[in-house]
Amino acid sequence: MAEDMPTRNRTMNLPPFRGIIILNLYQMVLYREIARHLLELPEDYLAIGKKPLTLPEGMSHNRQAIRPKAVIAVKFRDCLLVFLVIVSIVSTTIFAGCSNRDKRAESNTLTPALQEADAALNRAQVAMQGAGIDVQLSDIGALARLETILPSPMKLGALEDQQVIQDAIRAMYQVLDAIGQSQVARAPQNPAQVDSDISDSDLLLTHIHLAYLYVLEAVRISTIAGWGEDGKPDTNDDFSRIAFPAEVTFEDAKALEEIYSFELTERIQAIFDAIEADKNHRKEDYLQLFSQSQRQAIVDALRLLLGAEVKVPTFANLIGSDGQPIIEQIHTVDHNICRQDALFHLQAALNIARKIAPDFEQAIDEFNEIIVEVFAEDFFDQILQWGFEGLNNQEVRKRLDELITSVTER
Amino acid sequence: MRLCVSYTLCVIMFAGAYVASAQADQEPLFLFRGARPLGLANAYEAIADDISAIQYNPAGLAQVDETIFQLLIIRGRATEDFIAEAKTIDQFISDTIEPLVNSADPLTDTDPQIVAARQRLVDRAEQILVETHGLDLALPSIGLIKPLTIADHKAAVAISFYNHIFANARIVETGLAWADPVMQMLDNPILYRVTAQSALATALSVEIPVGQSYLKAANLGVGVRLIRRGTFTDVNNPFAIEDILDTDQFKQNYFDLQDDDSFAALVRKNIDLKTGYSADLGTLFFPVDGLRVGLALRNVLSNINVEYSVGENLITEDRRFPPNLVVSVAAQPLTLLAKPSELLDLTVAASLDKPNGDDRLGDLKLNSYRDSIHLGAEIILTPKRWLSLAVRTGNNQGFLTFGTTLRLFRFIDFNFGRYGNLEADWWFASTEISF
Repeated sequence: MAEDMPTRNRTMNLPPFRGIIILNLYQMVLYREIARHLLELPEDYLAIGKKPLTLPEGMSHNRQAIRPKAVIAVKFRDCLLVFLVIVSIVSTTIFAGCSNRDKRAESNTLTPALQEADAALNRAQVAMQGAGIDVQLSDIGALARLETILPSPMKLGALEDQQVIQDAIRAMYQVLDAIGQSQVARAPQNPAQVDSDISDSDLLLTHIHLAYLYVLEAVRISTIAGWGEDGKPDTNDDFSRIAFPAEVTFEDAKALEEIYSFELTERIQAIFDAIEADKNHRKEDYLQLFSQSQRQAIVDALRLLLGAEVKVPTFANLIGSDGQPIIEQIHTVDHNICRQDALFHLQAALNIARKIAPDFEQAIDEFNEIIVEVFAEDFFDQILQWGFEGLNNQEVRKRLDELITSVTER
Repeated sequence: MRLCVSYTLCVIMFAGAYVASAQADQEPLFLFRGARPLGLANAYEAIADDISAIQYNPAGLAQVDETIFQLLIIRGRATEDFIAEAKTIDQFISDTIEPLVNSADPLTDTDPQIVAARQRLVDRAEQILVETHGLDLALPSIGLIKPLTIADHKAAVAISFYNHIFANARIVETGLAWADPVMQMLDNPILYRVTAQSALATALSVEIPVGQSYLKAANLGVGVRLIRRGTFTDVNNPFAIEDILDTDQFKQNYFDLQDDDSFAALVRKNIDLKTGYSADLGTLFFPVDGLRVGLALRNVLSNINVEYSVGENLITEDRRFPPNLVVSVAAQPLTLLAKPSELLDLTVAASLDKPNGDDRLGDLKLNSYRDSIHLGAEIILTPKRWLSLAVRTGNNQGFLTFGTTLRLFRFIDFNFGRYGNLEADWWFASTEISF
């Protein structure tokens, strides 16, 4: 909160402890006086230290002389005295521990399915926050400066826990499982089939987070693979990098196209250019420049981003940059964790966003075009030219086309 | 004596209905709360010795020895959140809104002042998310208590007619708990309710002398109120912040203003007029001088017809006001000590009821034992003199209350205080004439 914003304490100021002690002492004196008065005792009867605690002379005799009804009355007054003492102590205690509306249990309003989803979401958010890859929109201005929201590829590559993104993806799918989104919850065990009253915005945000996490995972594995054999960035053996402009805004389409785009290092790009200049070059000439792990990273990244089934064909007589023969490689993405791909969740999110705010259609359409350009034209098409084989090219292109035409058709 | 026992048993039997009642079928009563009960944290059922007895415990009316007429000139009550927002709105506009409006690019401007203004805007939105805004304005209202004798028993009859307008709004956190407040707020429903209510209440109380050493007397009372209420609310079909993003659909669904309609016309068209009634039973026991034990069952019988629309469907329902069984004790220590003073009157009181209470605050309960407890204490300096001052404090469901009344010339009262309940913290002030 900004410093000049007025702050308000939403709960009462608790009385100081000294005040409570003084109040209790006051009550003790008051009830001593009440007791003395009710039992018709001399003024110093209960004054401890002044006189022994014995009944005054004649008291027992007087008591015997009291009629039964009066005895009942005296006992009743004794009970009353005890009651007043209890009430006062309770009241004092309650003042010392006043209620706080901020502690109201709002979660009671959630259905069991939503409570389960809420717990899964919490796990995902804790994982993302721990890794510093959570999305913060509190500063509205950050929406216009994407570099302040999106983590840099270097940060992703250097994540202490390399499993954290997949952990978050798993937890996000548990959110969808809990609310019965069976079309995306291809979980092997018992996806929930219940009607859920989840809000459109919660569903939208879940899909956006999943798309975001898939992109981060693709960027992470591509970044690490691009660092070369030594596994360190900015060294001579670097092969590729994932671009991350210093400033990215929604308005700056050029910068937006460059964010998270795949780039070869200058050294590698020069070799690729030389191959391309050779009219007799073959596709496998490019493949030889990759190591096995770099090829695998590209195959997996495309699976995560587009659901593309890409494979590296076998060229048993050719050796890659790591000295290993080029043998068939397919994606190694774990279907139990990554059940879909970024494109799927982006499409799902956009469908919901369109429902919530159709006024944003134009902006959504422009954003989609950039996504298609970055994912497809700049990366997918490129790697197909480098000797990778796409097994479901038509399907991927159809889905990419749908992403941008669905808005235009409307 | 037998009558007292029978009547009390009757009250307890009716309390069975209270236990079985479902909260979802209930409408808030909007009990008219005077300045004195508010300052005493609603621990009033065993005190009930003035015009507020009609609302809190009709059995208390028979304590009144002389005719009392009261004219409530005006009373206002507002939540602390509302007052705080109102006090800072000018500064917020000049410090936050104006710089953003004047900026050519408020979203991306990197000017430190604009960045700070954007941050303040989000902070303000986050703050509003947890606030409750409420305003309660009582219009001129009257009350009359007339002592009388029924079959040689001391009795009193009372009538009151009060009007008040009550408005509140709050945003309820719902759905999945996103850590980011902007994401969290998207599906939060905004609940508002504006209610104008008139109520005609009448009550009768009779004192039954018992003459036992453990019980001197008991008062029995019954009260009835007729309520006419107009409500403009979205409680039955609330809109969320995400709904506002689709402005056309939002207007059509929630504020379907035709071209020639004003907002006032929209309110008139959508206001729900309701008529209802409720009945209260009460008893008040006097074991000894200076001690009173009260038992009140409010809304033992009640009904209010509610109409609201969900989409294009018009739904009509018969609902109840929340039955509320209250057990209360009040003591006057000086009287208990047989040392009454003309210069000082001291009263302490405690009440126990259900958190749902009269105003259907059950949705806001804190699941604490304190939700049911009301404690109050009052000191009146120079009562029945030309100038007297009353100071009150209390603990209402775990929230601090306090208030003061300056009484001039034995008939003009100026009241001021703070009141807290499960919903919010309130400040109140009122002026009334009573003699």
